[in-house]
Amino acid sequence: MRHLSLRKRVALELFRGVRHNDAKIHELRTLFWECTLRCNMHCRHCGSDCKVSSVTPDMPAEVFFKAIDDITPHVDPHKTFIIFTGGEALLRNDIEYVGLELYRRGFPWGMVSNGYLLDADRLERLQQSGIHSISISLDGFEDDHNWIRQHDYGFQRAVEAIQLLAKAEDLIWDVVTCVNPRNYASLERFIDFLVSIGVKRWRVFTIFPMGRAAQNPDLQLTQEQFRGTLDFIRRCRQEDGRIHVNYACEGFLGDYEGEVRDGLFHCRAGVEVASVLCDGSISGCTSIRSNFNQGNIYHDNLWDVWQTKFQKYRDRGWTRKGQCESCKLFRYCEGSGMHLYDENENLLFCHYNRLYQ
Amino acid sequence: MKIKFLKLKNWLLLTLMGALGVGACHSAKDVAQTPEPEPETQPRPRSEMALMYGVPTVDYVVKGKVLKADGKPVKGLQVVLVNNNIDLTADTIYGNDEYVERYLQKSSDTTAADGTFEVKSSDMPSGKQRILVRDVDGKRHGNIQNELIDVEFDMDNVGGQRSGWRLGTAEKEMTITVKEKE
Repeated sequence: MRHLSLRKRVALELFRGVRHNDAKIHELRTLFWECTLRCNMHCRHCGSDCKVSSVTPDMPAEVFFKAIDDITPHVDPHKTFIIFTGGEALLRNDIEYVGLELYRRGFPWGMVSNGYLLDADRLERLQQSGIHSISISLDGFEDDHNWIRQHDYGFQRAVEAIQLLAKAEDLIWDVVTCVNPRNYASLERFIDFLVSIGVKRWRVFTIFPMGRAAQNPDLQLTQEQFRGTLDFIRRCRQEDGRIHVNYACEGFLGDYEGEVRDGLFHCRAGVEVASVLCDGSISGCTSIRSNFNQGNIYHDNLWDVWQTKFQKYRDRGWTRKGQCESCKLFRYCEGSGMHLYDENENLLFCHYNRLYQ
Repeated sequence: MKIKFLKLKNWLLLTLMGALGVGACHSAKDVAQTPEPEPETQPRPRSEMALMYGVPTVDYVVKGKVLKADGKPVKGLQVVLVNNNIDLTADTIYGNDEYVERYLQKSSDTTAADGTFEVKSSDMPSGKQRILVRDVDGKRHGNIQNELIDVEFDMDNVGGQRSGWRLGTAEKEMTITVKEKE
């Protein structure tokens, strides 16, 4: 196995055991709630629409509470994190109400946001409702961020939101950035900028779109750029103590494992992470769509589904096919992330191959 | 009991990993030192939230004809369906032109004797694409001026099957008129 040191190979072998045990335990630790598909931006890499969807309206809060009540007797609420996603979660006017109900039930909660609607007043109301964590998307300097978000004021409002969070107390927050060919060259300057506005935790993502969009040169990093991004993150983690940088959780990264994020690769969808999508579908994470749905909260008990289904998420032996069939590193990866499979259960993208082949 | 045993096994494995100096999603340090929360304290979840960028796609299809100003069809022209954000003009590709050229070839067709073509692309669901018409065979079928035309799809009428991140198919028919180079 080239590209892996002996120390890492041993660690990966040990962690393989951890992964398998985690699948057997399948303790529900994170529940995503896709609380809306509405959004106030038109991000180039996303399909959310700014108008109210006539196909999938927002799920009523009471319906989601029923799903929470399904799991409450069986989990430790203090250890089960509820995350609101979308679309743009802040477009729901009842987020504070839902959050407070979760807080009263003992569940910590947080959200992902583009920051546009996060002013001082809204932040105060969210904090009064018990919000624990928030992630703000900021995809580069102004031109680059507004280009990918397709909004002239996206950058300004996101930075204002970040500056508010930097002064907030009792709140865990971070910034997430999607690296693409436009903002790749400015990463070094961008980290300085993030530090200057008070960011202490930064997560870096790369997009691997499906289908032909995977060839889109606007979003798809070249191999050199992808490796350069990971080299940059590794360098920051080793040398820059001002800010804690992590690569996203997706993909087995070969020799970069253990050096660009806090954990080793582990797709926790269906193992520790579940999602309730806007139409009630029960999935692993919100990036995994209809092809791997396990039920629907409108007619299934969420806890029963969590306990009795999710077999494909917890036993990844079925992924040993196609480009994975003869891969010598399969035991450390086991088919990469579930969101990278198409409707025919074929792997569309391998991070390791992207790095080294 | 089985769950407790598995958790103990994980604790041991993670501790060994910690001894190797390699972190994990639960680090040995966290497992060893995080106390059970008191019932009345604030809930303390993991600080990392899993996040992902998915990319919904739409299949775009454009069918049509390429004609000269006099109504005669033009054979042998390359027709390409291009993402709205690729930096190019009718005659020039900017940036990594070899990379972009390879990308363009994946969604191209050559006009038939009756001028017809059909091009397809799977791309982001903005509803905006461009058609690039290029004369790639010199004067063989006429000396035609390249054209770059904006195309807008009706995204309220995307048909076909929705599945996962695929949102359906947006289709359009068009007739393109090209000019001879002077």
